[in-house]
Order: sequence, then structure tokens, then C-alpha cells
Amino acid sequence: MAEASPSKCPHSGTCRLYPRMKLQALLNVWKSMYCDADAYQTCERFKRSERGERVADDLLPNGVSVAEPRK
Amino acid sequence: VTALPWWLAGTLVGTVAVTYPLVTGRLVGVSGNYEQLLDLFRRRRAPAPDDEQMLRAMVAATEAQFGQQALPPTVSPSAASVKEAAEDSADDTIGRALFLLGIVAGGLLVQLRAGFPAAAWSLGNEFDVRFHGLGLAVGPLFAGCGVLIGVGTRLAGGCTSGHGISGVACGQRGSLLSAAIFWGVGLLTAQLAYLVLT
Repeated sequence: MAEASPSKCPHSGTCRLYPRMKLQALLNVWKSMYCDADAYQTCERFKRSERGERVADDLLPNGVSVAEPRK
Repeated sequence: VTALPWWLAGTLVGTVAVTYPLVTGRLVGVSGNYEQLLDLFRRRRAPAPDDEQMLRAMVAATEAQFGQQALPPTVSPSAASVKEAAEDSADDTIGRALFLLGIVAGGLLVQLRAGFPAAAWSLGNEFDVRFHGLGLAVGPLFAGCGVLIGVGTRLAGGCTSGHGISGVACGQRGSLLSAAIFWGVGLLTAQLAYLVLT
């Protein structure tokens, strides 16, 4: 049975990267290209989360990991 | 054991499941709220703008993915955006804390309705029949069960509320699979326990 997909990523409320995107204008492009579009289903964070895998904080939607410095 | 009537409890849970996302923009999830709140103490996560190294890495990755035209003229966050971000973060924390406190308050309200019966280890007559010989060992048993639940929740990326109530209602495949597994294993375990303890 086909289900209608939401146009916004349903994981945005729990995604740890999403709040960062709210902070920086430069990251809006990620939001508009992935989180707030149907393309969220191609987001590597979304896919890993759907598979039940751990999603690193520094993993970008395109699958690239940005080394986050230790605090 | 004191509990609300099933129809009232179900209606309240359903109401929360529908209204919570409208108010917060997030799906209902107890373990997620708990984890995020604890994370504040564990790592004291700061808003990203003051993390220059992370910001530079993000800029490089964004430029590599979308080209320089996707970047705004400046990558330095304005004082206003930092303040707004800090306020968003504070609101987020307060909302999560209120959600968890609400669960405790709800339980207390139900107990208040019943006149605060004395605390007991028992979960009902059937429980007493099966576990009557355990005595005080039932405490560690509960603790061990709690640890197993925590491990399962971590493995599944969510708990019974996040997957079973919100995720299933939204038709998320991961939640449907998780709910099927934990309900199925729960039923199987209960049947096995029944056979072993009878």
C-alpha cells in the first residue's frame, strides 16, 4: 500500500544536525535541499536512522563526515 | 495497582500524540527527550556558532557540495542570530524537561485520585502468583529488566512511545519494524515465562 510521504523530514525534531542548521544562514542550503524537501529520503542521516543505526553528530546529509573537535 | 480506565488513558495518550508535534514540531518520544536532556549534562552542548573549527569544516563541505554561490556573503553569525539560537535551545530544553516532568506529574495525579495507596512491589495478582518466591530479589530483577529495556531502546533508536505510538501512526518503516519486533518478542517472552513459572 503506497503511503503519502511528508514533504518535510519527519526526523527533523530529533536530528542533532537540524538545530545547527537553524543557527547558521550558510547551512540553510542543506535544509532546503534535504530536510524541507522530498529529498530528505536521500539524506544519509535519515537513511541510517531509518535502519536503526547510530547517526554521528558530524555526519552531513550527503554522507560526508565533518570532524567535530572534542570539547 | 491503580490505573485510569483504558478508554480515558488511551484518549489522553492519543491526544498527546496528536497535539505534541503541533506544539513542538517533534514526535512524541520519551527516551529521546530523556536522552537529549541528559546530553546537556553529559556534554553541555553549545550552539554551533561559537564553534569556529566546526563552522569552517561546514563551510568547506557546503561549498564542496553546492558551490560557492550557495554560501552567504559572511559566515560569521551575527549577535542576533546567536541570541536567537540560544533562546531556541533554552526553549527546547525547557520543553523537554516539562514533557518528562509531566509524565511524573500525571502518575502522581492518578495516585492522588486513588488517595495515594501505599507503594508496593507487586504488579497485580498474576504477578504475585508467578513471582511470590522472589522476595526482595524482585528489586534487582526490575533493575535488570530496566537495563535490558534501555539497551533495546538504544538499539532500536527509540522506545515504545516513539516507535509504538508516534512512529507507527506516521507509517515510518523503521518504527513499524521496531514495534513488530518488540511486541512480538514481548509476547513470546511472556508465554515462555508463563510456561517456566507455572
